[in-house]
Amino acid sequence: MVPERRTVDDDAEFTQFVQTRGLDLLRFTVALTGDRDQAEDVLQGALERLYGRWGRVKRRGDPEWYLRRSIINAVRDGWRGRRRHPELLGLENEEQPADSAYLPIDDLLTRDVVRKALAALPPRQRMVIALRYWGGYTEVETARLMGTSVGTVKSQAHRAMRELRARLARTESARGTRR
Amino acid sequence: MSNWHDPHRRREPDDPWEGGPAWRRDPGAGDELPELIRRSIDEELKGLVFPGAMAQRVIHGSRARRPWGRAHAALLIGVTVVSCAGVVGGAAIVPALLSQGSGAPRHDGPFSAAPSVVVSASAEPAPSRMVDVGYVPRGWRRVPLRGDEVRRIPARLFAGPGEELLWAVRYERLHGTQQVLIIRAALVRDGLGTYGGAEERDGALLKPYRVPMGRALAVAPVKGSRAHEARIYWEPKEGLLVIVQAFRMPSAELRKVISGMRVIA
Repeated sequence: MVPERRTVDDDAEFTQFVQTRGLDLLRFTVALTGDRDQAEDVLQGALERLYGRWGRVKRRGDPEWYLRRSIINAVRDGWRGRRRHPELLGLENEEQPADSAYLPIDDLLTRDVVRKALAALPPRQRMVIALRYWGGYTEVETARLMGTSVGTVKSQAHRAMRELRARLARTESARGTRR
Repeated sequence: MSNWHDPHRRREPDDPWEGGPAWRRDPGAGDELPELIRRSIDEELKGLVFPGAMAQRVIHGSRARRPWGRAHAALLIGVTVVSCAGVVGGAAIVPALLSQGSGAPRHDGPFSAAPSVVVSASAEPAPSRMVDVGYVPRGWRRVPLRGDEVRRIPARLFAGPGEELLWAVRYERLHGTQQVLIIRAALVRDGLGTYGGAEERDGALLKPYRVPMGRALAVAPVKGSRAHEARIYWEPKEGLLVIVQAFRMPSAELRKVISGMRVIA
């Protein structure tokens, strides 16, 4: 396929867009993935796709919305890759049995505990939680971004919150046992 | 009444809300967990810095990766037009020749012009570096130079007096794959031929390497210790030499890196 014709102005506009919105988009990507290196790769790939269609996307709609959807799609593609190559997952996110969850006792309900619990969530649930509670998107917007139904967003969010509460409760009970 | 119409049947055992399936409600309503989530993710993002060169990397990387550039498109259109003109012209000429014999007017036939490819540098020239690495494969990161990579061209790549190393950069692939890429730019008195001659005296096999401008030679990997090393000497313009050393890097990726490099001074 022959790419669209680009001008120097297009390149300048694209560069300005990346420089203006880049940090926010990188933060968005890290929030979805939880991994800075992976996020940088995902963002670079999404920007390359946007650059290839910059003229059309700029004329027809909102480049940032297009880019955010592209980032989400790329993150989801990464999940498939991880399933194919499980050795890249590492072991740090392996779930611990409830009775051994006594290590971060003094950090009950702190951000550290929540962060670890978030990291242990299935990636789809983490994405929903990040979009809803960090990104501030409504359920409808989250569903549009993820290309799924509102019902799926609700159920995934509900399961994720239930899982987070359960983990926090286990940590709390471990602290009680220790005392 | 079926189970589907029994509200008690559908309610989950740990449903914290009354009056319907819990997943229909806002799962974060009325507690501080959403705020904790927001703060914990914000903490994860602390100190995050956006790489300033990403826009340039994307632009030049896209150009390097794109299989069909403007010149290719122009060439394809040109060939198509010429072919069509040939077919149409042939269809018009042959019957005329058959009907009028040798008195038919002569046609010069179609002609084609070679597409002109102009490589221009659009970035601002930087005095401290003369080559811009536009494309780096995903998963690769720039890392600090080691040892004498900073100071000079290694003895094995050094051909004669008069060289001055201007700039060097080292990239590595993450996750311990031992894939390394070192790029050096140097002002040289002797040209590419001298470097090629030195390599040939060492027993290396040389072959031309396609580059966007100037000319380049590639050292074919030989068996033994160099089996995973590729070296390319690129002379984009007279007096400037770019030496690319790649260890365990796929040749397709290396080609993209070199296609994405530009001389900016």
